[in-house]
Order: sequence, then C-alpha cells, then structure tokens
Amino acid sequence: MSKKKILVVDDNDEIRDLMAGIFESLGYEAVQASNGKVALEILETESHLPTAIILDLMMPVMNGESFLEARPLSPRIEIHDIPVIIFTAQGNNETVTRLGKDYPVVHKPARAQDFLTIIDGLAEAK
Amino acid sequence: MDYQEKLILALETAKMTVWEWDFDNPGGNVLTDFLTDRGILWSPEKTPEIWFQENLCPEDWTALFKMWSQVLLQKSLSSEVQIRLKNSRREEFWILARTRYYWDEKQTKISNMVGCIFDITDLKKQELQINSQAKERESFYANASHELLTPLTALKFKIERALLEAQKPVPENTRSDQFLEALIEIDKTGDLLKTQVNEMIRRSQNH
Repeated sequence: MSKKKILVVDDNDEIRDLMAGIFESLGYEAVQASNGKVALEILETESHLPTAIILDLMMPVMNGESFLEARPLSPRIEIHDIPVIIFTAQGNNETVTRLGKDYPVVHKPARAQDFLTIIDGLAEAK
Repeated sequence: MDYQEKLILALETAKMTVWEWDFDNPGGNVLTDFLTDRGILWSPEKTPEIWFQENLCPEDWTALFKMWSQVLLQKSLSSEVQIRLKNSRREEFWILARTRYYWDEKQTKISNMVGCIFDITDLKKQELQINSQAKERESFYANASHELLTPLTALKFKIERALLEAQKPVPENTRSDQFLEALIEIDKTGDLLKTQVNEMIRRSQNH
C-alpha cells in the first residue's frame, strides 16, 4: 500500500521543508509547492494524488484564495475534491472567516501533527 | 411656499447656502452661485451634462439615483445626499445637499424645492485621511503579525521535530549531535523572532 501523500503549499521554504520533514518522519509522503500556481501544476501532473492539501493564503504569484478559485476549473476532475486545510498567519479577518465556512483553518503557529489529526478526521468522515 | 418653514430651515442650517427652486421659474438659485464660486460650471437647464462633465464618481450617481427614486417614487419630503464634484481644474469638492420637496398633489409633481448645501470638502478630506490612516495601521498590524508568526511557526516545527527525533531509538553518540544541531537551529530562529519583535516595536513607535 502506498504512503499517504500531503501537498504542502507555502511560500516560505523553511516552513515547507520543516513540515514536509515532520510528515515524512511520521510515515507520510510530502510534496511541496511554493505558491498556488505550482500546486496546480503538481496536481495536474502527479499520478499519485495527495490525500490532503495544506494551503497558505498569503503567497506571491497565486495566493491561496486564487488557488481555491482556480482548482474547480482544472480539467482534471479528481483534484477538485481533495480536502484542503488552510494554514494562515492571518487572524480571523474577512477572507479567513469566509473561507473557514468551507475549509478547516489552522492558525500559525501550529504543530504539524495537528494536521494529521484533521486529515484522519476528514478521511473518517468520508 | 411656507415662508416660515423656509426661514426655520435657513436658521437650522446657519452658515450654509440655502437655495430655492421654483419649477415655474428655474434658474437663478443660490446653488448656481455656490458652485460657480468654486469653479464648477452649473446650469439648472443643463444639469445632466454638467454632472457628466464634472466627472461625478459612480458611488455618487448611485446615491443620487437612490435619492431621486425616493423622492419621485415614494414621494419623500426630504433627502440628504453627499456628492463629490470635480471642477475643470480637477480639484475635488464635496457637498452635502439637504433638500425638502413640496408636492403638488393635484398635478402629482414636485412644485418647489428648498434646500441647503453644506460644503463638506474639509470634513471629507479629514474623514478620508482618517480612513487611510486606519487602513495603513490595519495593514501594518497584518504584516507585523505575519512577520512574527512565520519565525514562530518555524520555531514550533523545529521543537516538534526535535521531540520526534528524541523519541527515536538511536545510538547515544549521534543523539547528542542531533540535539545540538536542533538547539542551534531553535536558537537562530529565536534570534530572528527577537529581531522581528524589535522591528515591530520600532515601527509602531514611529507610527
């Protein structure tokens, strides 16, 4: 059985590397994207799709919100429903509150293992 | 026209321009003088063209349409609207127009209007400045929290990684090296966080 894969989307290299490292040490496979555009490219080309996407909101090129708007337009239908967990340094502003109605939100800082609890919960709910 | 009512309105709005528009005898009202004094062309007979020429912003059009619809459809007896105007030199003016309407029930039309124009340009500039300062402050705090939370997040992850490493069965001599490496990294992130906090304090003091 293949490992569960998590896509970490964050423009901060250090945060991304640390998260990916922790996930890998806990038996998960981690792929990284530095913005929403790179994340979409990965999702549209990867053969083994991730179980969940951890998404930062403030990113250059394509931010988290734009990624969420662009994803349903992708011709690859399988990527439309991959669970997304928002990981943000923003407080509960208008954008976070609005997105929080559709996606779980984790505020920075957090433990990487908190995401695994959410991902397991999402898998059980399916 | 009830002269007493007009007088009361004029007194209530002391220091303001009071104008009267008699539909049977349009033109020559005080509004014309008020606007021409500020370099804004105005002619009651050519009102729509003047609004367009003076580049009224869309919000103001919305406010005006709302006001007119209230007056004409709901037969409101009074209205209040803030209007932004620009003259030919592109200078911006704000006016607050308060108007009372007198309906001719027999002819089902407005017979007279009496109103006052407040020049709220200075007030509006102050309000815009306050709003802009508030936005700047909001953006500063949003950026500051982002700048602080990013190294703090890295710090938390490094601690989490060190704790996970500590739980792994590894030879004793390699464990101390790994711990040392992890502590050095945590220390560096702590320094970065300290720099960010100091920078935020410095900037907030200059604000």
